[in-house]
Amino acid sequence: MPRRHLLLAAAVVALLALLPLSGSTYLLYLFTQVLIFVLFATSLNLLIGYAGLVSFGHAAFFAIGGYGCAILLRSYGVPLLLAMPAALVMTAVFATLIGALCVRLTSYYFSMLTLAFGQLVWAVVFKWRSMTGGDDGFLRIVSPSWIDTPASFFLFTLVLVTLAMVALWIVAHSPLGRTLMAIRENQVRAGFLGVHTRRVQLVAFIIAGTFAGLAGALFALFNRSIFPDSAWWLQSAEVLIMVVLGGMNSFFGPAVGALTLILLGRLTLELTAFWPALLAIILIATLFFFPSGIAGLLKARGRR
Amino acid sequence: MMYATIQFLNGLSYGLSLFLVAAGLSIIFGVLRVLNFAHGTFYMLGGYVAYEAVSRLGLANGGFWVAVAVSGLVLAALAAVIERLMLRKLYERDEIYQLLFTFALVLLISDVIRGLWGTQVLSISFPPELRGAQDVGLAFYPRYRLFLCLVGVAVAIGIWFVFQRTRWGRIIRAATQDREILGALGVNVPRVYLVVFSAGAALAGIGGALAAPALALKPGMDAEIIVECFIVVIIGGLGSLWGAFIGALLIGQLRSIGLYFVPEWEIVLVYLLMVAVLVFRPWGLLGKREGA
Amino acid sequence: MLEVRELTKSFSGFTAVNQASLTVAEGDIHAVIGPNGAGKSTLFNLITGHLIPDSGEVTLKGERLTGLAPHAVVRRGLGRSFQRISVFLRMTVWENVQIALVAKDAREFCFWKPLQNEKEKIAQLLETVRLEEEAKVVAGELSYGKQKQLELALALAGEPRVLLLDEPTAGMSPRETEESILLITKIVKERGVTLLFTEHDMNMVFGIANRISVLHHGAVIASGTPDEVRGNHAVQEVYLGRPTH
Repeated sequence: MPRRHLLLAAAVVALLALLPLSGSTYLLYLFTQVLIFVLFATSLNLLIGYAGLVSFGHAAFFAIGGYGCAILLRSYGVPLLLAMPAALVMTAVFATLIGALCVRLTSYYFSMLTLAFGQLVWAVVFKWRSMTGGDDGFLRIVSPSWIDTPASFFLFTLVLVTLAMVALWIVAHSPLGRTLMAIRENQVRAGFLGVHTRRVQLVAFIIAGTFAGLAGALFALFNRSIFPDSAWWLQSAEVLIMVVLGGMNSFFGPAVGALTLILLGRLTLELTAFWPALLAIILIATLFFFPSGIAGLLKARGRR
Repeated sequence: MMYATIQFLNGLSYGLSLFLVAAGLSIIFGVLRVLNFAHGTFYMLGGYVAYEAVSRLGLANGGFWVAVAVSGLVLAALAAVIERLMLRKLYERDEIYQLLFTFALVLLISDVIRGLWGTQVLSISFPPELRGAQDVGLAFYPRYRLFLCLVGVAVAIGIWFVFQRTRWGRIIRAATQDREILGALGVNVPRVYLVVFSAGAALAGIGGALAAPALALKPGMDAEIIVECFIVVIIGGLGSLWGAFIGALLIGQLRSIGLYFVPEWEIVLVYLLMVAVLVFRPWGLLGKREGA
Repeated sequence: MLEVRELTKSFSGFTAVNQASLTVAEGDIHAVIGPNGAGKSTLFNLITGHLIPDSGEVTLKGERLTGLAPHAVVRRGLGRSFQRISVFLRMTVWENVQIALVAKDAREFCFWKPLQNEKEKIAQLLETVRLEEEAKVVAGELSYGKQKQLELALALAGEPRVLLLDEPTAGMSPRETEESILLITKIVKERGVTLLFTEHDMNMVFGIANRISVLHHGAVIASGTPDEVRGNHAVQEVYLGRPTH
């Protein structure tokens, strides 16, 4: 079964690689965005689906990665190939500090603290005008010429997101991934098997945060700008809903959720004013009627 | 001295109104083991309902007080409906689903508020009985804020009384310590859940209504208040009522000190206090240590 | 080997364990018995670090265990089972044991390579507890007795020097009880593990234990060989219900 998923995923990547041939800028933009959110959502699912830790502040790392990369690039003139890894290191450092505090106690504390620290990151971004531009946003981010066209940026994103997804897949199927699931199911038992449960969760938190940072860096480059909204809890909510809608018990579920939600957003443009309410209704419907998400529905159909 | 007094009272009134909301959050968690993310949104809705009531009834002739009562009732009723029709179905499921559900309520209710009242900043005037300033010895201080302090203290005493002296209080205390005990006490558990959830929401609604004249109603205030409530219960200890009380007062004072020394960044002080508590007493000032 | 010194633990005024001391020598099969509510489970939870004692300490081969986190206790050579079934119910039997092995080898932080499939080790453990047929079954679907066997496998996977079993036969039929007693004694002897267990079934206790400690109202009122304990006055009073005063 997982092997079939991997083949399917490889086929999707191969097809996407041909997308620039279509010559449609609209499609290239759309799928660049989808890819970025596929990575963002999948990184969050390492916490939700595997570790059972619901983070309400994952956007913090998305924003740190995005602002970090953008500021290094524009304010300090660091070349992209240095700025991006440096931004990821920075995200990892923040994820370590915040994560160490968030995983100390129960999962309820985790949810409260991730929201609180997410809002703190937002407040800092919002108020530190001289560095981030505050609510005017951080604008005029210039990518190097080799990723300056929609097609080349799309391919750049495709390569990075594919590599990141492979890495996340390996993590999810490693001893760490399995241990996370065990902790999720029975933390006390896992502890008495000799698992250092908090530290395992922290490692997962750092990995998830860092990949969210990569998604954020790509997002900032893609839009050539980044705003404090990217750290606001609504952004965390959106990616959370991608995960739940797609299916948190499946590795590729959140990717499907990201695609679905973005397409849905495009199809209901006239309803954009009520986007949060729409998100809430999608979330509630998912929770009550198909708690395993779209992936769960597909699996159930496959079994029949 | 005068300035310090005013700052102190500012912090006190802020802390005590924060307590109204955090107490409900803490009690709901203690009994239902549901972390209600929508609690800040209940608070915000309470403010908007009061705004609406006041704009129809007027402030004079007790209109404000009716509006406060209406807020409490509307929130209690709304919470009862939510608990009955939806939340109840999730108790048996993983806690993840309850967390996500109350989070969905945040999105939904705050968007409905935005739809009904728009995004501009709204405010309620002080009720006529409580306008003006009062001489408190060292300074003149707005009467309305003094009144907020009194309400906060009164509610704290009221909750203490209910907890210590009534059957409901005993049930709630027992449930907070050990959930399985509820069945053994011969209590109608679903009803306890319903009442506690509604009462907590009503408290948040009243808190929001009372706070409305002292601060502005605007989108996003729910996120602000829920985050502060979380910080309150983290500092005080999740599930501990007195922890919430002390946490709220501490945050009130810290904010008012911060406003003076590091304006704009006062919230950072609050976070620093939280981090310090997490590092040195992760279970909170009055919380119970796991395994102890 | 395992030394418990004057452990005390109260819960809001009620003293569950009161100055309890006992010594477990290497190779012992040591039973802790006592009426319901005597504090056996609390004592176990104190020894394994699941609860923090108000006073007293536990040492394993002279090394202090009190105050250590569960994983650190386990790493020092202590394994435990739980009275209420505590396995990973949504995973298969195979995966359950696999987790235990990952933890044992401290590979839980290894995120850069795929999970190994240690067929032989897992199979061997499953054979030891007689679950080889059920390897692919989800743990939640096993019978109660088999879940207890899986629980035992998890405790054994860490290759503990001292094994603590909390009511290993609780809830079992007499036949299952007998089978599992035989199984446990066989494993303990084969592996040279020191065993400390609580048990309500007196036949089992006097059948296999070489040392017995009796717990009453949280205090150890007698400790010794089965014969010594059988002949002890205080113990007779507790078990035969005679007034102690």
